[in-house]
Amino acid sequence: MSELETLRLPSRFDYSFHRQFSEMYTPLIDSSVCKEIILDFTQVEYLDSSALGMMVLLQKKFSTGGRKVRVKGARGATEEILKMANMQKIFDFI
Amino acid sequence: MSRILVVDDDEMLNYLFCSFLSSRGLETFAAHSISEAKAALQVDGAIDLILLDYQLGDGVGMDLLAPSALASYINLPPVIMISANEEAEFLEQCFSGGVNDYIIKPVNLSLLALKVESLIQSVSMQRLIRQQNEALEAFKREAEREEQIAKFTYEYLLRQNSYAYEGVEVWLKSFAAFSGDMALVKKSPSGNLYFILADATGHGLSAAITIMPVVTIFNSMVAKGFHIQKIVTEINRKLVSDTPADRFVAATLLEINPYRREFSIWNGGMPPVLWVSQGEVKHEFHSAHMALGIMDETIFDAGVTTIALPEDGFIFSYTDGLTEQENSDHKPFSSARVIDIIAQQPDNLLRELSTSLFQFAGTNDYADDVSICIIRPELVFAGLTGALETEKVHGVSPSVNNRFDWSVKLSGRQLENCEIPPLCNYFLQQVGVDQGLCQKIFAVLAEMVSNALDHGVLGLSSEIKESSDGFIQYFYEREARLKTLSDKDFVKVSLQWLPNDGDEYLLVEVEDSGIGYLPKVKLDDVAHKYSGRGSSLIHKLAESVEIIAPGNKIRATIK
Repeated sequence: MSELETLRLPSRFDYSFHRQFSEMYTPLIDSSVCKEIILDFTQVEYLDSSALGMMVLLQKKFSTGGRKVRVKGARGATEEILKMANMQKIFDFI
Repeated sequence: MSRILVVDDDEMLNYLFCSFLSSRGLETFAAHSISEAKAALQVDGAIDLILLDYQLGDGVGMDLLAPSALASYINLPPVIMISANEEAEFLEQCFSGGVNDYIIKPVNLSLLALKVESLIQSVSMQRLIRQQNEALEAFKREAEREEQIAKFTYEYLLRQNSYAYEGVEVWLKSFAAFSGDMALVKKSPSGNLYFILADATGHGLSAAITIMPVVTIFNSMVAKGFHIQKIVTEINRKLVSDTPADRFVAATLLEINPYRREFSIWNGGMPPVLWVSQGEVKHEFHSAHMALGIMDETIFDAGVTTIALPEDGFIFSYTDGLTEQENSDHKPFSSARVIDIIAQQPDNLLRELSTSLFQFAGTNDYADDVSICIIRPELVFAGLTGALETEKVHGVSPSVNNRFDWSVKLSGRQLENCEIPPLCNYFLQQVGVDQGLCQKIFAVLAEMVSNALDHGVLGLSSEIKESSDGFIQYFYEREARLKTLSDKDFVKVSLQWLPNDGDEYLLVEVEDSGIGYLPKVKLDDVAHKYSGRGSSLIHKLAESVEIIAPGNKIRATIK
């Protein structure tokens, strides 16, 4: 594990991804090495409100001690949804 | 371990079958006649399979399966028949008589073992399925029962509100028994109309549950006369503390003030709210905030946008269930289509949209809750102002035959946090002033305090500066100035109830620390009757209004 870890999100980012997502990020939260998580949205074509909820939950859990979660590669309808939810207020978009 | 009953009157053969099957790990019992076999089945309910020879001393194998005999068994395990007869007709008879499989004499033992094991396996599968089905049915029944109870509570809560207000139209189609979308309309004591359209994460019962605190807080705070900044702050606080971190409620809140012809809007996480005039979208109020239930109290942004209403047009808002609905080609309905339909200016916009959506989706079963709301301020105003002015005052309770005096003075940052009109309203209610009169007083007081604070203390101009698209944004300037207030800045409200021999009235005085926003009056002109501005609420509802020099004190009489 390194200081910066990237999580690739699937083309359909919704409640069905819930378990997997949690399995992906839990070791990162528990680790003392990882300081930054990048959520890679390049593959994402569809996301729903539970996806937004998962993002918020991750951010709340991970953001202790200056650690950050960033969002990368969101385009089109995905980007619109994230903007409407004002996710840029709690995530840096890169 | 599986238990097999071997029925054969030939003792050697019976013993042979039993030993062979034992060697395969099965437990075996021998019966050497029909009557022995019957007896076993009458007392032993744990036999898993019967190996049945056709030719027996006291009858044929099928006698064991005769309907009259079956009734006396604890249960009937599956049966493999052993016979020398291969004729189709005979075998048909056996199968229709209840036999599950057969094996031909002379018996191939390996084949027999395979048939036995296969049949046992298939029967235990069936048993498992039956058990699971029963468990599932019971669970389903219980869940339905609980859902009924929850639905009753939920609907009771909803029934407390209606959107049967002039000028407000709502169309709501919920995905499941419970809607994660909620639209509420309510009038405050000041006569302002409040509207909320909310969309909870997900849908169904779990979404509806997170909406409930929104409903109760909205209703109770509007009833007390709080502004939407306070209401969203409180709803957010409650959702952050009481719901899981991945649950939130996107919402749009509107406060329409018919007297000042203004509305204020807060949009967190919802599609843009549209101002439409002559079929054209004149303005879009985008989501400027995160949904409720995410941001911690210390960073939550309750900022609203305040707009002066133009003469004609309507407010249009919807939840994303509308625009995200896909057709059979997986294309979404989209906001572009919504705007097209609006541009056509149909007679019944809601009906046009709901029909379009149905045709587009090709089904009535939408993927999410869908809500569409239209608010026509002109109609809302007509409904609101009329009511307040013509409201008959039913007199006051007997305890208010004596005078009372009450005053409050708030300075500096207190003015940011505390809302004076609800405070006064609460007091008046406690003291027993009639509800109708309270409402009138609240309306006038709210206007007076608002003027005192905005114009007097904060120095915000009452002239509406129009930006290029015709709207104003008070908010940022107001918020910034509120933070700079000191003890020298204050608003003081005094209420005096004077019985006046049966012609009772309330004297309301509001004073602020400002320089006075009217033309300077000579010091010896102490009392000065203010005329003009006939559309002002204060003038409509108060018996008399006086401006005291130098203009930072207003006195009104209300009956």
